[in-house]
Amino acid sequence: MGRTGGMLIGLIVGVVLAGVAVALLIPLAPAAWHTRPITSVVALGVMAVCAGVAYLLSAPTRE
Amino acid sequence: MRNVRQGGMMLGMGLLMLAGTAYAGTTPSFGAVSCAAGTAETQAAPRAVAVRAVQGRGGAQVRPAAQVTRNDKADATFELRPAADGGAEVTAVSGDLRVTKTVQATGEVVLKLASGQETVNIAITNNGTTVQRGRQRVDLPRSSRSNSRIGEARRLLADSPSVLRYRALADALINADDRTPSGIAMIITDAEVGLLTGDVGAPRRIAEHLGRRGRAGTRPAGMALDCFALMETRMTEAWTDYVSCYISVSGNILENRMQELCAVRWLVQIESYWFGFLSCTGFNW
Repeated sequence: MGRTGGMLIGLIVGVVLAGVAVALLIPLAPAAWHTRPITSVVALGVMAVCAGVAYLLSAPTRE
Repeated sequence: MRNVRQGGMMLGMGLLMLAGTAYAGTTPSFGAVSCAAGTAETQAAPRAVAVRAVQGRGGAQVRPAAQVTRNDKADATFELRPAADGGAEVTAVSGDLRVTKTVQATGEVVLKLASGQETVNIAITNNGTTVQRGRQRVDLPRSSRSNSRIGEARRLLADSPSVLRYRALADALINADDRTPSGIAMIITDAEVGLLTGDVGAPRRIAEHLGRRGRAGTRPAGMALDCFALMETRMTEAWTDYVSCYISVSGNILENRMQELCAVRWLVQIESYWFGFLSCTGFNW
């Protein structure tokens, strides 16, 4: 699959999980957090974490 | 013989001069207007013709035929006719109130209100507005930057029963949604009368009334959409639905499974809203 494919899957999963994070953030977080910047940071943070995990998991092995 | 020849030439020249004078006095048969500056007599001629045109056989002046309409809701009868001087004249009679509005082609308006013994004249010309009530008169020239005269006009019209009844008539016409030319003519002038009497919101209200029917059949072709606010609302509603679903299945034999189904439904909903948000913003949020 390679690193490229792994990163692509990681990004797709990140976008989906970012939706879940935003959907939990909006109704459960205080009203003051319902802003574009905070939502953007949360969503991009989730995507970045997923991409990072995918990057690490897709690292080529010596075998 | 020579005297006879000279006499004949003189007679011929005299006839030519008479013919020339007669030709110069006539107007072209197709009604074209001469560009030459005429004398006082020739300039007054069209008016005399117009007066003759409205004279009957016995010499009595005959008013042009009027278009008569009636608004029962406002209890008003209108007469719309061409004015003698070329404009249009609308007369409204409601009870003892008689309103005459004359509009010229230049846009100048004269409004005459008569009720009982009182008469109010409001003339709106290109140079300004003149308000006359009985013998009192206030001129509001357009060139004047002072507002002191406006106060005088307002005080002059403040306790006028004619103005009060006219404004009540205009209000009744608005309430009856009178869209006839005569009704509209009365309503439009109410904006000016309202402004003169201190009702500064009258022009805006009347403009809204006149534009209401035109706006009724239209709808916005495009609307600025707040993608984030839309998603926020939908996400909150989805969470409320999920909580309601979660609580509603409590006590069921398949409680756990049903609650999982509630979560799946919520997941589908919020992912739909999330991707809808991304599509709306184009990742530019």
